[in-house]
Amino acid sequence: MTGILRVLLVEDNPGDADLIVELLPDKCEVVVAARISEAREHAGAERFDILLLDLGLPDSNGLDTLRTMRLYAVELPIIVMTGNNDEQMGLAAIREGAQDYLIKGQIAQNLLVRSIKYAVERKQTENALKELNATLEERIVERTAQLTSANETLQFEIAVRRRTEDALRISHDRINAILEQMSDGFAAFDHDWRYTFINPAAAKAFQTTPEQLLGKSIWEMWPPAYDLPLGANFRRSLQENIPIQFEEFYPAPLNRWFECRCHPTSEGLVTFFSDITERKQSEEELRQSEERFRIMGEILPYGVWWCNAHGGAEYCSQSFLDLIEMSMDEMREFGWSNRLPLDEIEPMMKRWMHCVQTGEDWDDEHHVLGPDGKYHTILTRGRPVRDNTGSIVGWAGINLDIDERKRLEEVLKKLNEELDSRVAERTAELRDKDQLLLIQSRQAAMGEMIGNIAHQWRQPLNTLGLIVQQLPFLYDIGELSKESLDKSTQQSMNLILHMSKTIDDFRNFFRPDKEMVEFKVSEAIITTLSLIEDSFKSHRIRIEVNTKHDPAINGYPNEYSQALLNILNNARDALIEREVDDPRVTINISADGDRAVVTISDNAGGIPEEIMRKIFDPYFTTKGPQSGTGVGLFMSKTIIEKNMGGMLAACNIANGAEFRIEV
Amino acid sequence: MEAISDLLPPISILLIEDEEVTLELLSIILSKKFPDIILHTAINGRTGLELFKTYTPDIVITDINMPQMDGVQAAKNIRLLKPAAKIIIITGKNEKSILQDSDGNGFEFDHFIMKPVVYQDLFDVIEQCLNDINHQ
Repeated sequence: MTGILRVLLVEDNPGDADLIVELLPDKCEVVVAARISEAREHAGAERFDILLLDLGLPDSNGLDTLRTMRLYAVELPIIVMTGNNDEQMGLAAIREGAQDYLIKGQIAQNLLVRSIKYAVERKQTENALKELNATLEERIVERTAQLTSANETLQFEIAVRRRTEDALRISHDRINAILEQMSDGFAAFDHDWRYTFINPAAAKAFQTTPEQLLGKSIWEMWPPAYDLPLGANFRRSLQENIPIQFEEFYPAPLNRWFECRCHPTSEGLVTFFSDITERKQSEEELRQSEERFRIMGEILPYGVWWCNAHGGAEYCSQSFLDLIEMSMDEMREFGWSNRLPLDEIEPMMKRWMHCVQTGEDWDDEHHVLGPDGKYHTILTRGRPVRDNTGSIVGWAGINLDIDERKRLEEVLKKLNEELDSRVAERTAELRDKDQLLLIQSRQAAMGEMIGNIAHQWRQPLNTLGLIVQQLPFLYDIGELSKESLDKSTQQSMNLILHMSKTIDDFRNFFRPDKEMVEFKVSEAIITTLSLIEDSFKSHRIRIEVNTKHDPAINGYPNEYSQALLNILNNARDALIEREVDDPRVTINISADGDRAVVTISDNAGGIPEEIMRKIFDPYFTTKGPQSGTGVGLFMSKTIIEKNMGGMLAACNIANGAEFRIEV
Repeated sequence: MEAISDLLPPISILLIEDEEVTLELLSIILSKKFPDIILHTAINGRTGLELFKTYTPDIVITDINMPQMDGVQAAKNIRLLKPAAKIIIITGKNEKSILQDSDGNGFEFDHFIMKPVVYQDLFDVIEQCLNDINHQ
């Protein structure tokens, strides 16, 4: 204890107070308060080292006094002063927080000093302890907080760890499930190349089961694999610790393409296989298809091209590259446009971009500079290529060399002209030939007619000769009378008129028909027969005419007669040539609906089958050059079918040939 | 000469001609030219053959071109019936060629007369036939 000791003495009895002051050492400064309210004020306003407190005060008594003052002077050591023989109170006060007690009347100076000294020290110790305690409490709180926080962190970490473990387990299950079910093959190997895992897809691909492979070395199970690219890639992947992906074809017994990915792991190597045979086949087909188009493109002058969706060129045939003297890379995108004439670039690009934007078909002509330093005319055509949603993914088209086409057109034109002139020449030749045929036909008919006239006239001329000769004969024998002269004259005139009529008949027959007229078929037949009957008679050929109907037709009667005549003449010639007994020609006239049908049949044995097909051909004849021209039946067919719209056909019947004329 | 001819049976001629006027003219002329002969006439080959069978004439004059039975056929039959009969054929030119073509089977006619008939030619061959008959 150093310096002045400040004492707050609370004592209502001034005598007692003075006594205490007397007992206190000199270096004490004493403030006396008689009441508790005074004491409170002093304790609140000033610093004291010790409080001497009488418990019995006018405004407070007993332990309450102590309790009150402890509230106002927490750190002040308190010595209570009690009445005589009231030690119980003193002990109670110590229990309530007083440092010591003194009993009034027994207070000696040394006792007081020692009590004050102890009380101060005791209070100081108590305060220090109190302070220490407070610090300890504080640190406990702090540490508790730390522990709580640490605990929470730990709990969180545990939860996270648990979740991670769960996730890992689920993930593992899931991976296993995936590996089991996926269509790709999956196989894992340890560092000694033993199968540690193989999924069903892989086992199926290798045409075995997982059980047969697990734990065994791939090189033992599949020795050829060691020398395949697969073996080399597996070893390299593991040795160099890099993933490798490759495609490989495995011959019999697999005969499949596989894509394989291998990844090194701490445990060895994991590998994935997928069967890409179909993809490879598709790729091969695609490649072949593309190759076909490329080849086709190469064959066409300047070939094919394709562009991407925005119109930039991606490919064109080599022939076009040769023309523009560019490499594929130089030509790419719009590189090719450098070979266009300057004034054509912009308008052509505009047209092209219009197509690219609208998807309209591309059809354009432009020029490109060729290696010969000349501009070539190119016709280019293209169409958009669309994906299955209809979006344009590119353009494909062709380039055509129109120069070549124009040259070919020129050649073609020349060839055409040549052909035309040859056709004209040939037509003229044919016309001449037709003309000749017509002339020959007419000449033949004339010849026939002259023969017929000869037949028709021979008899009357003979008779006329006899009559004329008879006159001088009768005169010589003196029997030429008026009567015989008149008779001879009459007979002669009859013959002359008959012969004249014959001439008229033939002339009429040769007069061409100017226009179509309606005529009776039977009349045409009678006319025709009248011209030839003597000729037939001279060969004893009988002509039989059966008229079932007597149809009329619209046409050219003379031509019709000529057609009949040609057929009748052929029948006659055949009958004569084959020396048929009882030669006969039968003519039937009938009608089939509105058509007049005439059949002319003979009994000359028929037309040989091998020439049946040719009998209507021009210049076909069986009669030899002297007697046949080969135009008769041809003309008949022409007359009946072309001029009169009818039909002429021939067939063989029982013992001869039959011609059927339908008009 | 006359006596001989009187003793012999009269010569007969068969004329076959299908044309009526011609037959009439020829028969008048022949009967006037050869009044001593007996003349039979027929309008076709068949009638002619029948008459020949009845009268067996010495000379047959026939047109070659006739209906029913033509002159050649009739002459062939006549030749079979009486090989010594003289046969004169009256023919057109074409008919002659036919006759020549078809006479390879032993048939031979004695004379032929071309149409138109000149009387003198006919008379000449008849005279010739008569001579031949008389000298036999």
